[in-house]
Amino acid sequence: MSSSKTKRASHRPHPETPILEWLLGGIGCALVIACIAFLIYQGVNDGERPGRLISKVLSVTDTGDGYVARFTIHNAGSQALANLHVRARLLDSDRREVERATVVIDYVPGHSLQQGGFYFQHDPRKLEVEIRGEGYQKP
Amino acid sequence: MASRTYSWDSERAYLVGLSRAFGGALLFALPVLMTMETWDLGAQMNRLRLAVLIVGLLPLLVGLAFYLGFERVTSLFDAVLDAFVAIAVAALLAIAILFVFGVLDPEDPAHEWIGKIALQGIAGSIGALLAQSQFGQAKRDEHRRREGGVFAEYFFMAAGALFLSANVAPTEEVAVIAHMMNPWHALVLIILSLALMHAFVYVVGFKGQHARAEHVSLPREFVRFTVIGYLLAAAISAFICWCLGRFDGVAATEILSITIVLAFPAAIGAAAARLVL
Repeated sequence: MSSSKTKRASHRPHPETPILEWLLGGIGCALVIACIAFLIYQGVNDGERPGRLISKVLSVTDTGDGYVARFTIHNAGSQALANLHVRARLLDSDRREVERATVVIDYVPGHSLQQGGFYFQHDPRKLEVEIRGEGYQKP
Repeated sequence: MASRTYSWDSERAYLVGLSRAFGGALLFALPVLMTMETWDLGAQMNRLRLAVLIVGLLPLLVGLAFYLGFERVTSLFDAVLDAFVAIAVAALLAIAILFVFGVLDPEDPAHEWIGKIALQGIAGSIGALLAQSQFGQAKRDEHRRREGGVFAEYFFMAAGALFLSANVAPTEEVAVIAHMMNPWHALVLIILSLALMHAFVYVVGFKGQHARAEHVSLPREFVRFTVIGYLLAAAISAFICWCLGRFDGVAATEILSITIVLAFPAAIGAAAARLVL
């Protein structure tokens, strides 16, 4: 590596060009090439396909006057979702709705996770929690 | 070993210039770094258009480095190297600042990171180049600027227009203002842009004011620099709006008024660039 640098140094047009300038110029050049290659690759291959939403309850906290269920929602599609409306329902053993809560998530990029929380009156640990996306806006 | 001592000196001198570049990048990029729309746009905008925007920026940076003759720029190759250094400086700065702001989350996917940083890098890299050339040691004053003629003037105007319009274009306000204006407002804004552009360079008496050549008539100067400069600013504004997706699904009349709105700051940027650079 160092031998190639000295070899290049003897050929460079300006004998005073500091090594630091070569180094940073190289980083900048690599960044630009990598960035453009990545963007073109993404632009050509990865269209904007909406996909499945996979959600999971992370934890339930007793707040004294109710419960907070923290959840994650994973956007498995490549389409970024803005204003994603998410609804959580607490279902009893007969799958009857006991309570529901909703949240609007500002923005979920493609293949990404977001976190949030639902406030409930009933203890979600004793019931079934069903979380579904209801709709989104294209950003 | 004698050459080694010499090289350390030049290395140290370069480090000072580099710190200046970071300072300039910070000064120029801070308004963009602290605008929410730019984070979202960088992540959301069409990937290919972002690539086009970056490719379009490259010749502009190389040209700026060449004409401004910063440090020891003598050849086109040196200018290319300087342009890439400016990009590296701007990117490193954007990563550091956005990370401190908590905008960059290590858990975010790579394309979010790349989009956010790439869009920030535009203003920052222009700032880094200017700082190296403009805020440098005074003793270089005499060779500060290469004589470039009319083409160089257009070039500086394009750079100034790109810088200011890239700062303003990501905000929602451009479309809001365009929406609120009627055709008469738009017409007044065009006249105002042209008048201010001309006044900036020839009338108000800023440092660096251009004296009109004696054999050149006022209308000719107006057409040669001000009108062409305005068209340049408008074209650059339209290009940036298209890259950012501001024209998608928008009626032709609205496209025109958005361009006129954004051409206003772009025109001021173009005129100021002629004075400052």
